Amino acid sequence: MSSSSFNDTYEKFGNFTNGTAGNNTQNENVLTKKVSVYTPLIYVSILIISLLIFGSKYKKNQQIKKNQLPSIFDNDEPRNLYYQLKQMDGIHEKVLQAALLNRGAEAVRRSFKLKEAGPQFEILYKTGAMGDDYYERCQREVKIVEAEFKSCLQEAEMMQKGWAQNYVALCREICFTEALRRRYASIPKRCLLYKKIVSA
Amino acid sequence: MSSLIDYNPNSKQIKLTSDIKDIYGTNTDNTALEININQINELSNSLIHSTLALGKITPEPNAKSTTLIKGMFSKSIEALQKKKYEDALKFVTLSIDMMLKARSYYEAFAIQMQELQFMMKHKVDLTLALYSQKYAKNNTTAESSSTTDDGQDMLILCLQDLEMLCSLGLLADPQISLRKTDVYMKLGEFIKAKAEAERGLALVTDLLTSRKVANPAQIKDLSLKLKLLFVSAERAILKENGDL
Repeated sequence: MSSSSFNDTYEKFGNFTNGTAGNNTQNENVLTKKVSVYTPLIYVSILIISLLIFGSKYKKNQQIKKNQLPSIFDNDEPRNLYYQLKQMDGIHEKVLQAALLNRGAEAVRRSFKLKEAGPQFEILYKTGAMGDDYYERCQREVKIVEAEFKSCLQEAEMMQKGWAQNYVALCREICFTEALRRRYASIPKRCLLYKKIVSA
Repeated sequence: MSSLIDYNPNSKQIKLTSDIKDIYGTNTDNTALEININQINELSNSLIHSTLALGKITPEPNAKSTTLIKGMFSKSIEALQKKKYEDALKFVTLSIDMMLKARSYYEAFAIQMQELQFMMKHKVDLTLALYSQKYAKNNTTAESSSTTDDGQDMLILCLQDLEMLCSLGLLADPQISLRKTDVYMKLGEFIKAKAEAERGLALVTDLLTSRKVANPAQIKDLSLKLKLLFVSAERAILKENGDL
């Protein structure tokens, strides 16, 4: 093979490359635009801010919805009574202390009830017998009772320093004793009810 | 929100305001509120009468109250020894009331419950004894149904006391089942009496098989009584149905 023939072929077809892009890319006009270095930062910050706003609004809405759910317990009368007595003037301090003890006893009673019923709630929820709404109400109630108990302890500490430790033990005894007396006091009513049933 | 309570600075007691019906309407149930007001009044009374500083108040039972309650209860025992059932019943009822009034809400619950259990058991026994003396004197069988309203009231109260004892942790006590069966028989509720006797017998069997019994002879005696009542209840049911 002569060297002239090789050169002829080379010149005829031009340079060859192994790449897939080929030679056509070299001929395209690429448009370039100058972008500020802050543009991606602004983009990311707008994204994050909008996500945060959305998140906070969503959380607020959820909180409002949860707050609108009714409690699984009756009205917290001991709490209402305590705050009413606190607002009134000239109340003897022992009466306020008694109201606070009664409020603590109610918090203890509610926490016991929730602890007792907790496993049953879980089972009912897992088996689908309890809806999301009611389950959320139960979960919320646990948090409310915890907050209520903490608030009671703070009030007790404010009334007298160092009373909080003794306060818990007293509330527990009061809670059980109140239940005992309520049960004993219900005997005459139960007798009447039984008599009605028997005579019917 | 307008106040629901009135405070009397002299007695240091609170009570529901007279305008409660204007605030909540006439049909609202204020039972929970009333119960809580009573509880606060009882607690404030105990705190006011306590000589201890707030931080030093503990659930320890008051020795003075214990002496008072024991004194009243021992009077009941004395009356029982003299077979004066009516007086004995009066004293034991008084001692229960005294316990509920003299003991503060914050005193140890375990001790209060034990006291109440003990006194109520005694009260039930006395009520049944008094009933037998008054109304079932000439009736030797257990199938006597109450003839007067007073007698029925006495039995119903006794039954409710027994129910209370069950809720005080004596649910699995065959002695309670025996007494309940007896009351049901006297009230003429034979189906319930039979069920209760069966329950008592099952509890006795459990006790005997667990071998934790201190006095097996007493349990066997109890079992015999329950069997007798069970048979009488069965007979009474058959009689009622016209099968006997």
